[in-house]
Amino acid sequence: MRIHRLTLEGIGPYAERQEIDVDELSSGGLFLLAGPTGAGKTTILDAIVYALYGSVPGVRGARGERATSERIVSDLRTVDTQPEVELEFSIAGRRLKLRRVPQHERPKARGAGVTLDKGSVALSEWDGDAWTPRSNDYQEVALEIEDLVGMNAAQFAQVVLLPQGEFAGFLRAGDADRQKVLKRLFRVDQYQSAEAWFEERAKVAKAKLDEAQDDLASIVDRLVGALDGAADTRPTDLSFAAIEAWIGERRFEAEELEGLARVGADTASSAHDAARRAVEATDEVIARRTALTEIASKLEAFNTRRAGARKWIADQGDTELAADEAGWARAARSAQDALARLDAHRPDAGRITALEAEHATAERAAAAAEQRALAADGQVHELSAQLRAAQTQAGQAEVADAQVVATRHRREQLAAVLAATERRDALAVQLRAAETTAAEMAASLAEVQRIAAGLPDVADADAALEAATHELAQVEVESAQRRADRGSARIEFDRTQGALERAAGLRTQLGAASAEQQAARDASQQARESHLAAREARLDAMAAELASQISEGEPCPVCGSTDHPAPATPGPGGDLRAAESAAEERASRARSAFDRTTQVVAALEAQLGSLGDLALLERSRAALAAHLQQLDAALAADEDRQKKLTAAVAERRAVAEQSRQVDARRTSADRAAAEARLAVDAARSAHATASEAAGPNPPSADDLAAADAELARLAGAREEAAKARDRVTALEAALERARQTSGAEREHAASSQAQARAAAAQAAELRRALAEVVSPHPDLETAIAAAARRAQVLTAAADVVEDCARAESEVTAAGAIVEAAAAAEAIASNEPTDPNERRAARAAAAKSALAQRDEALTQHRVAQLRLAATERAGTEVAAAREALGPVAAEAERLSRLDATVRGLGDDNRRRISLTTYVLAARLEEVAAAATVHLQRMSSGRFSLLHHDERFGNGQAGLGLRVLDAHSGEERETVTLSGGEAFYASLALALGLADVVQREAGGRPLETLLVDEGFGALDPDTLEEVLGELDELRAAGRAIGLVSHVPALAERIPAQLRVTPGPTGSTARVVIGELVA
Amino acid sequence: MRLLHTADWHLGRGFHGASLMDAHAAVLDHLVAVAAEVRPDAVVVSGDVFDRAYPPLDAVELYDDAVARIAELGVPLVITSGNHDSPIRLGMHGRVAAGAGVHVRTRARDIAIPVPVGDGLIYAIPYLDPPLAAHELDAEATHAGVLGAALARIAADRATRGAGGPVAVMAHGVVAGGKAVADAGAGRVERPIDVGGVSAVAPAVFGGIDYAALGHLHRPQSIGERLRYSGAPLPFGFDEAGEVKSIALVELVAGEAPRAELLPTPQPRGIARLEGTLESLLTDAAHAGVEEAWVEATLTDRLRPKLAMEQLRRRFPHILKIEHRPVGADASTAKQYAERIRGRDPLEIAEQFLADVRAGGTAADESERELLRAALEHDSRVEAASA
Repeated sequence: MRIHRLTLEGIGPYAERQEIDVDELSSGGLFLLAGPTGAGKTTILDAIVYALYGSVPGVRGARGERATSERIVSDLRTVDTQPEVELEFSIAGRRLKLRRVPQHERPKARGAGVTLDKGSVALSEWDGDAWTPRSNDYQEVALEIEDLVGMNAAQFAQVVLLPQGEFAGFLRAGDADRQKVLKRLFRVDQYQSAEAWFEERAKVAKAKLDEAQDDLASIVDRLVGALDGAADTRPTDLSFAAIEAWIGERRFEAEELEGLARVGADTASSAHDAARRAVEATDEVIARRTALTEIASKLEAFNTRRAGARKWIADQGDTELAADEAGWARAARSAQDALARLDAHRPDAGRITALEAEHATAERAAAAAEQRALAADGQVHELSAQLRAAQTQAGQAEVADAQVVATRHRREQLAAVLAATERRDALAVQLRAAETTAAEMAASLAEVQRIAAGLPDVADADAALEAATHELAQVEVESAQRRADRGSARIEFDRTQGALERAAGLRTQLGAASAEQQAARDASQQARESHLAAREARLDAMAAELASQISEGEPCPVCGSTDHPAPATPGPGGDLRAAESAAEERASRARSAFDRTTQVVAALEAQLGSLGDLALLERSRAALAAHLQQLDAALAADEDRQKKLTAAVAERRAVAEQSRQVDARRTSADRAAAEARLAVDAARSAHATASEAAGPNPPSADDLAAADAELARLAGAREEAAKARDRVTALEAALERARQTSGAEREHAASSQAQARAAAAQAAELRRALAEVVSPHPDLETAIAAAARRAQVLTAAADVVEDCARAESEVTAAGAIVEAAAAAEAIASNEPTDPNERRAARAAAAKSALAQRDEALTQHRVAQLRLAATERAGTEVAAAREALGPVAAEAERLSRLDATVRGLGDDNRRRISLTTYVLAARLEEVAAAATVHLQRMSSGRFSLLHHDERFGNGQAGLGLRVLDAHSGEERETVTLSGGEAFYASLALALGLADVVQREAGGRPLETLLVDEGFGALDPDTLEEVLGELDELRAAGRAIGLVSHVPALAERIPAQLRVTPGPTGSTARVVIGELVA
Repeated sequence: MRLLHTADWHLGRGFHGASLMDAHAAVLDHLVAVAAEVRPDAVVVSGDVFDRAYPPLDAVELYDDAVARIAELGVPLVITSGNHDSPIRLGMHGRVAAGAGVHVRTRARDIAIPVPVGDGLIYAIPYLDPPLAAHELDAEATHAGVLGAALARIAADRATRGAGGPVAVMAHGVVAGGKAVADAGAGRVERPIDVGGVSAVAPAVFGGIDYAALGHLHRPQSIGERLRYSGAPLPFGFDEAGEVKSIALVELVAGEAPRAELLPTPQPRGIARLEGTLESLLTDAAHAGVEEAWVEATLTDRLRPKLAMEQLRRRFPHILKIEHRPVGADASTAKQYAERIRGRDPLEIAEQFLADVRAGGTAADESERELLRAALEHDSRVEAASA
């Protein structure tokens, strides 16, 4: 969060409107609110907090008394000035403006007097162009601000603003309070929600457990109900053991009851069985009697039928048989046999019919075959005629064939001859060409020969060239020799000439040098004389010289006296010694000059002498000159000869060349001519051959064409012949087929007839046999019917006899059964004699017995059910226990884990919740960051340490202690002195801001405001603290200090000068002025 | 021109709480004696005369005395204010004192007025706080800007004077290439003057000057041939142990490189930095030589020893600082929480949490881990669902 502007009016000591550009103030990172005590510095900070939260931090006065908003309204304002605070700031990327008007009194709009204005709040946001109003509602604004800043007023006062006297709030806070602040600053939502989740789940699990336990209770209730237990037989408690014991008891009871009921049921059942059996016995008797009666009547019926059969047989005339009942069966069998035999003949009739049909068919077939044979004969006839015609045609075609061959042959011949003719003509042309070429070649050859004749032989030409060259070379050699001679002669001449010239020069020099010498001699002579004269003069004046050298007291060099009464004085002329010396000098110089000239002369003479005899030289020069002339002339002649010879050489070379060329040409021309002749010969012979081949009368192309046409025509005829032959073949085949058909058909007719005859004979035979079998009856059917009837009657009769026999035995048996049943009935004395009545009585008895049995069974069933119920109950309880187990376990686990995660419970020996754990890490980092600052401010003495020890049973994990390096002890923060606590808190606030800055998602705290506390520091520590704050200037933070300590005023150039005055204080932003 | 160059006296400063008044007095006596013997053309003090804008009284007296004595010698004295001094307080009687050969230069407006000394000139630039000086010098509000402007004014003034003897400039600040004491050790001895994060100035800015007598960095050092920090005459922190403190006697000839001789200053009691366990520091005979020195003790015991200061003070009565730097990885419990959760995802953190807080360090079993995961992830889904 960064503050930009603060505007106050009618707030605290500021009666008039004060506009403070906080951006400018905090541009250097560090700024000071300076001014004398009570001027209104703290009010500035209060105003900031008031603007944000609508309340004022800190305690001004008695502990526990919170300054309320009214107290910030200025007493010094005029009553119509509206007090207000406006704060413009940026946070989370948004630029906001908060304006608050506290509750105040103002004049009524209408009327006199004042009224209480409740005040207002306005939050607006900068959208890039203008301020957009956001809210005027206190609650809304409060929520918005708390959300944006991430802290409420109290927390703000621990972290962003360290209020006067309360700066150590965070340092000294208890774990719980510290946790609240840290939770706001660092993102631990996930962990908090996780804790909440655990709580929720533990609750849910617990609820499930309770439910399960309730279920158990209701199960018990139900059991109690089901087992008919009275209230006092309920289980004593709801523990599984008790319930199961109780169930055990109930089960024992149920088992007993069930046993008893079972016995009762068995007894009743057997009684009922007996009664029922009695009824059944009577029923049996009745039924058997009825059966007997039935069988008897059946027997009656059989007898009647037997009599009927006897009668019939007798009627048939078989009286013997009629009486012989035993023989009836046999008779029946034979009758059946007869029937069967007759039956066997049944198919005969069918066969007869079939045979007759066959006969008819065969006859028809024979007739048809006859017809067809006739037709085939006709065809044969016709085809024969056709065949003859075709054969004739085929013969014609043969002839044509032969013609084709001949014609082809002729044509070929024609073609060959024609080709030969053409070739001959071409060759004739070639021959002429070859002859022409041969003639040309011969002509050119003649030409070349002619030229060659005009030239010398190659050999000769070469020889001439050689001679000329040789001569030229000789001449050159000679010439060279002569040149060399001339060269040396010239040198000689030059030398001689030079020597002569030098001699002349030397003579001249010598003359001059001699003259000089003479002069020098003279000069030297003179100088010597002068010198001698000077010396004399000096010697004459020696006395004066000696006199000048002696001093008083020194012995005279001449006489040895030390007394020099009258030393000689030098005469005029100055210093004679010097003069003599000079003269000497001059003389010697002249002498040396003379010597020098003498030397020169001598040298020249020597040089001249060395040149030798000059006359000889003269002569020699003349000779040499003549010689040279001679040589030059000779050389000139040589040159001429050379020229001439060179020209000759060239000419001869050219000639030789030419000869060679011509020779070559002749050779080639010769060759060419020979070739051309050969070509002519070849062409001629070829032509002759071709002419032969062509013959005298060459045909023309027309002849050839005619031959081709003939061939085409003949080819057509040939085709026709082929077709005719084919037709002959086909016709022959058809004819053959027709013949065959005719023959076949005739055979066919014959066999069909034979077949018909045979069928007729067979049919007649069969008819006869059948008539025999069926006599006396007219036909088979009648005979079969009669035989069938007889067999039927006889069989029935035999059966009847058997039936009767059986029925009689049955009757006997039934009678026996009836008696047995009656015996078995066991009639009691008091029972009615009539079986039906007896039966009815017994039935009634059985019915009551049944009712009793049923009742007994029911009771047994009930007892069984109860037993089953108790067993089920036991199972249910066991199941419930099993089901409860996991639920309980789950609830247990969740509850423990929940307690652990939330820092409660015995499992969590550190009493730290998960969130606190995470925050502890943050706090560690904060402590570490704070320690960096703290170390510097305390010269390395103090460090802030995080600890997680707990006091009592409360939650722990966010403890802070101070480590004193001097004693090596950790101390509680309350043991710090005022000044130490101040900068420790400052360090902590800086550390907190550092860490929050680093954490992604944390809310950066860019602003820090410290209200007083610097006065509690000694100057050295103050230096350290300020040095520390200096470091932070570059970090982009805005740190505002409130202090009256003058050292601060001199250290911090950016200041808000608060100046009190009679009508209120003023706050002025001042940068860089060092005077108030 | 011969100069005696010194700076960074920081009168009034202590050595980790111990008083340096006597040491300062000795240093100033030494300075006066050297000045008397050598008779330089000037004594130059390049800033940070006092340690605070509001120095203690005896510091003021010491200063007054030293200045008077040097003035009595007839040796010119040029003093500039540094970033620690209050320019106005230090500059009091500045105009008057110039007549006595004491030139106190603390204002930006006097920069271009040289002090003629020997055969040359000295231009004295006090510490220029960029925002304050920028206005006066009409320059950019950075160190490079204001210093550049100051030197430009000096160059302009020189141009009006023509060639002559050597020219020296005094300045107070950080020149690139110079090493602060803080570069070597962990402490911070020089007060930071970063503005906008940049405090250093390029040496090239002093082009054309024969010698730059610099102050602010406490270590004596030269930058190139012609720029020199005389360094502070006394050590002010343990980081300066082992350094030889000095003042510089500089010989300047126009056009040649300056020749400097470093004259060591008298040191107060020695400085010793000891390291070892408490036991060894108390008993080891090797430390017998430094028992009277100012001692900084770094204790390497695994566990923090109790009442270390008291015990050590019995052997080393002038022990000033104790640090505890335990040897070994598992030594301190500091940062155990942060270490445990650094760089871990929430689930790992939760597991770690369980392992830590439960007796016996029971780690989370599979079912518990599932629960933790559900608890941590449950939220995101709920949030996503309700968003």
